[in-house]
Amino acid sequence: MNEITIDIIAGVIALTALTTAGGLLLQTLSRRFRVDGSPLVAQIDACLPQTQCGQCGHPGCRPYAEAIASGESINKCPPGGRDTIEALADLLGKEPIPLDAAHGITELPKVAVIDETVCIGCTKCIVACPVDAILGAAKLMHTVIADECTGCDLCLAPCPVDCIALVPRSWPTRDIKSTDSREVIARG
Amino acid sequence: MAECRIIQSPRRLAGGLQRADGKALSLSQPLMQMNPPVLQLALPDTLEDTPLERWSIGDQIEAGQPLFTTQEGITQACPRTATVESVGTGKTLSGSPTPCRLLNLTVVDPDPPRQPSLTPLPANPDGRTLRQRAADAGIVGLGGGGFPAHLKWQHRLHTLIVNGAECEPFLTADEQTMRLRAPAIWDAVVALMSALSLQRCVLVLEDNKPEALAALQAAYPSVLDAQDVCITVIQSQYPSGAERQLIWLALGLEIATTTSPVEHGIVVHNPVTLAALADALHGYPLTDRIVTVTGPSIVTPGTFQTPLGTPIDLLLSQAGGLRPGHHNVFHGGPYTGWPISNTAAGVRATTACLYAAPVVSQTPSPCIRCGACAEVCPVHLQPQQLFAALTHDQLDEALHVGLSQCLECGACDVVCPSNLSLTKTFQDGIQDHQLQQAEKQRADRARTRFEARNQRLLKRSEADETRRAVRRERSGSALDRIRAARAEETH
Ligand code: SF4
Ligand code: SF4
Ligand code: SF4
Ligand code: SF4
Repeated sequence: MNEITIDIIAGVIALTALTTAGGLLLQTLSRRFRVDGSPLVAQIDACLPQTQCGQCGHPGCRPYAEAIASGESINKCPPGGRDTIEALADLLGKEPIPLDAAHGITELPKVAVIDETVCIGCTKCIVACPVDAILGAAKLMHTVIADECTGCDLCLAPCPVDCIALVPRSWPTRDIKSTDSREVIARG
Repeated sequence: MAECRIIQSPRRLAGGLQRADGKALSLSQPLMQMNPPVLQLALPDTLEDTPLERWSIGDQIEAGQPLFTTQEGITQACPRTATVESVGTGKTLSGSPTPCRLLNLTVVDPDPPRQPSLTPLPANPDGRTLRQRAADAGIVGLGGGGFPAHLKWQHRLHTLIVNGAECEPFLTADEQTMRLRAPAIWDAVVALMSALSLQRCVLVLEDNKPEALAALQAAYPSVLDAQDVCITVIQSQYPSGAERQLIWLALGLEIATTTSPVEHGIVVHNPVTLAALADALHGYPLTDRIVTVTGPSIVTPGTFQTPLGTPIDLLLSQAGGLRPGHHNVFHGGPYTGWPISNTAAGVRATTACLYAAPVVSQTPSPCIRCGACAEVCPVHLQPQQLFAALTHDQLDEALHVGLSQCLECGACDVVCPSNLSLTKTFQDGIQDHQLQQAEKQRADRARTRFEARNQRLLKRSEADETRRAVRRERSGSALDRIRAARAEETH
């Protein structure tokens, strides 16, 4: 009898210790690896091309992802084109729909180049670039890091001497065929 | 004298093709030396200076003198003593839309270099010396891969496999080299085994090469311990020479497509690469390579010792030229070769074979689901499924059913009764997938940079806000003091 009681007590203590330890571990782990914000927004954001061009009407891809999470339509991102729409439709369990042409059409991605002989070093483009892809200091000639430039077009308008142009990428790029907005319409 | 162990591989490839091999066509002639009057070398895009900063028209360059060094550290030597005729841009072999920079040379002395241009290495060089030498001598994979040899040796390795399978029909460069240069191949094996402290070496041959086997046996060096070294003979079957297939046939080891053999300590080299490495040890950089010119459209097929940069046209005419009619010339063999669009371009280090065949217009018809392609696929894919997914633009689906495992071997094309371009479709799909991956990485970088910038802007605006608040407070208190002073005055 006595022995059984001791066994039970020992068992209770052991189990309590175990669950407490497990609980503490889970808590620390969840703190340590906490995901900021809603995981759905992050998943949506992962489908967006990160061009950060604002054509969707939001100041960047993440804000558009937040808007989609709260019900905005999924067909407003021209750089992402058909691929993005299909990925979003898949993720959210919706039907793919054609790209909304009011926001623009899908084009081959480009990069910005600064005509360094014309640049006056005004730094206006640096301020405009959403991904810090432009290097330069006040009154010094500026240059674009082609590898980081998303081709978002936002640096063109602020330039007072119009020395920035978007040109085709010099490296291999996915064929437009697979992201063509017209095909979405044809298929839709 | 030591005896070489010969082992019959107990394994055989599932699927694959067994076809007439067409190798006798080019092996009936002895090896011939090419002595072209001009050379055209393509320069890597990554060179920092322009060709004209490097050379002036009319400059004489000695045979063996370094021309340029690639980003990977490979130095290309000038194949012959020659003068610079012109530099410029032009079409590549494949006629790709981006032109390449070219160096055109007029050969002054057509003979191969007689003096070593690098200092000959002492026997048994250490690993570092060997790596440096391979890079300085321009040793890249001459089987067709073109991968710099010294980069493979950076890994911790234990096994060397010499890939003498040469399983694709019509190809004979490896076989001819094994017949004629067996001692050099063994020299390189000895040097590699001691420099990289390898435990074993397996030289793999298909059973259709008895003469090469005899030559290798006869040249077997006594310094090699027969415990560690063997020749493994495998059944002739395409594509037994594909790297992972070969490793499985030789060692019974399966290497996943997600890892590369060197990560498992296994390095695979082609016998032509090893012969070139043996020359490099003696101070001769890579200036020539053996090229098989063959196929039903070639008048007198054969094998040619060819300086790099020899115009393809010259090589074709040396082989008697093309028969009358319309022909395609392929870079590589009948299954894996790609059509050469610019035959004026020069031979590259990776040009193991020129294969010419009449143009046949085969119109593809829809897949009849006969399953012939799945039967021959050496990696057990369902090519018809892959094809259906890719032609419907469903890359994800194609990846799901194993697209990344495709060897691009072309076996499925050969048997397809509907003449579908299966392999080309798979190649395009694989390339599209790679571009998609690259795009994903760019997007991830852009996201990080965008978020970092937003954080920075946020912090700055917070800092501005505090500063403004402090200022407000200060100016507020100043105002109070003035008010107080005024109030005192009026009193
Ligand atoms: S349109 Fe697309 S790429 Fe441009 S900011 Fe919006 S989501 Fe990003
Ligand atoms: S450099 Fe110009 S086009 Fe490129 S990402 Fe920055 S703002 Fe956009
Ligand atoms: S090309 Fe690819 S799918 Fe076709 S047989 Fe070879 S491995 Fe299989
Ligand atoms: S061999 Fe050709 S026709 Fe037959 S199943 Fe394969 S793809 Fe279809």
